[in-house]
Amino acid sequence: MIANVRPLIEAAAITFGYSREQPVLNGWSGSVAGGEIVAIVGPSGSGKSTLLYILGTLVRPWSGTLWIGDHDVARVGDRGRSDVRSAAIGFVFQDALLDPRRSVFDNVVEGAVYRGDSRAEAGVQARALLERFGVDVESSRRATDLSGGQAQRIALARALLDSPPIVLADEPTGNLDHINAKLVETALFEHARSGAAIVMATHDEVLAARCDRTFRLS
Amino acid sequence: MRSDVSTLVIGAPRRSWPALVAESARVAVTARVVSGLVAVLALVVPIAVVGVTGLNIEAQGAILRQIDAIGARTITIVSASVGAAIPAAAVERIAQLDGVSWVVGLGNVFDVRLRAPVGEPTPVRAYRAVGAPVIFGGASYPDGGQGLLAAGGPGDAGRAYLSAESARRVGLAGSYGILDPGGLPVVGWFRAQGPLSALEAFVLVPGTDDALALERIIVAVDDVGWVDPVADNIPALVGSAAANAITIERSSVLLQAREAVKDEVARRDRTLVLAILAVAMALAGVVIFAGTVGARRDFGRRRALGATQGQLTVLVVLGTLWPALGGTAVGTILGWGYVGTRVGYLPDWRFPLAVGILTVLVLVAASALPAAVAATRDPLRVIRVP
Repeated sequence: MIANVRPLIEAAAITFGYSREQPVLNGWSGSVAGGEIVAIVGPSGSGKSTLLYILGTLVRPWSGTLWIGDHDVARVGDRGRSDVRSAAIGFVFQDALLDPRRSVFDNVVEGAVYRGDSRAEAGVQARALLERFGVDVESSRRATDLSGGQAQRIALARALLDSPPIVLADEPTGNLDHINAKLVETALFEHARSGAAIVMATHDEVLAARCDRTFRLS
Repeated sequence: MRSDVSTLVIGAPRRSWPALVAESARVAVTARVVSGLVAVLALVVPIAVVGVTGLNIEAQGAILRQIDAIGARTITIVSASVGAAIPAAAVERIAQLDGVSWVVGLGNVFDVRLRAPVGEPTPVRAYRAVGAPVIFGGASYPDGGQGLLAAGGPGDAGRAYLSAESARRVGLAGSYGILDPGGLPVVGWFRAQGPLSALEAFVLVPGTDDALALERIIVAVDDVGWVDPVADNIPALVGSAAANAITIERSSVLLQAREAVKDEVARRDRTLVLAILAVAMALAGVVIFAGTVGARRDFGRRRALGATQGQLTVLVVLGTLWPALGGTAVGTILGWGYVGTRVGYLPDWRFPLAVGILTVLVLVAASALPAAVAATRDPLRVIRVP
């Protein structure tokens, strides 16, 4: 439960790159409050996804500070960052990133394994989310041969399982038709209205314009 | 420290082990190729180790039995001087010691002539002996059978036995002769084996008198471990007169040869087992590493969903453990059965069990490095879409 709208994400002077000579992010700063939905826009190679995954604690910046809730994740090790990711962050990837060897249902509840949550409790939520997003495949079916829209709706259910206070989405509507894109967009905006901070990297200027704010990278 | 404190307090997840163990079983089942190859390795290693070492142990046993047949398990007591003969009663006393298989007492050698029903008399050498475990045959013992040369035993007083080979050579098969002088009748043949095979060159005359003076006693023990304890007790059993006038010979050269054979076989076994385990470890490491490389996006997804590097390492290691356990269990039983079938001898169950445990440990150890590499791989590079 989120008690106020102070920043859930607060970054200052973030520097990161794939080679020392050419940092992708050089002193980037920004914050995202609960209930806010923010777009990261910019040309390819500008560091949109990189910034998103830094905010998602998957990588540690070379320098700067990054607060996620009450944790300064730029200064903690893998265990601490994984704890924050597991407890507070949901990811939506451009290509859904489902495990084709698992059932649809197992894909949605997979995160509970690493959190140590009850599979039964997670299962109740998962079924409700799948129903909400209109996933019309058997939840026991393996996540193979799904349409892009179906896969992304399942991935969305996975990201929103346990109502994380932060959701990070990397081109969440990039490969979708209009109907599915609208469904994903609506779900993210609704989640923001419930008090969560949403950050999405996107090329879609129309979608970015609907967000509360935009981080523009060059 | 930032100035405005967020009210979002993020607690640490519970990180349940049972859920992770169940997930590792899922990893093992879904990674069919890697799990299958690990299981095959786990199957082959114990079969190879138990099979090869089992056959080596059998071969070692055959060599040791041959050495023992020559006399590694024997002790020879020799009267060191004329007139310091050992009383025949010592044979019975030594035979009572723990670990003694049999005891032979030999008196002096004497020359006689063997008079056959046909042909010229043949000069032969004879031993007075007591306690010799030989196989008797002839008119009195038509079936043959193990017996002891003793007064009141198979050889009655005043009779003699010729070795089967000598009897055949001098044409005594089926009919017997007389030893001169003395007129001792030869009433049958004997066969002596192992350390006593040298007796086949002689005619044996059973000792019939407790006062028979012995020049040599040969003691065979059940196991080489009994050689020293039995030898140490012998002086007290040969009588006070002889105690200080005997020499006790142990087959030290044969014992050394025996130990050398055991050491050599054990050394070769160790080398072979280490080589098999090393090859298995290397192959398993390559297979598991290839599997983790192929599953990079899978690991990236798990990281994004909150898995720690430690959890990913555990998943790979436990994902290796399950097929390793299954393959090893089957392989160990097959290897054990193979040895039992092939050589008719089942090794102590602790040996295949130890091999099985070692195999599982080696395969799990082989997964540690690939697991650590997979867990620490940068997730950003594998999950972002270019």
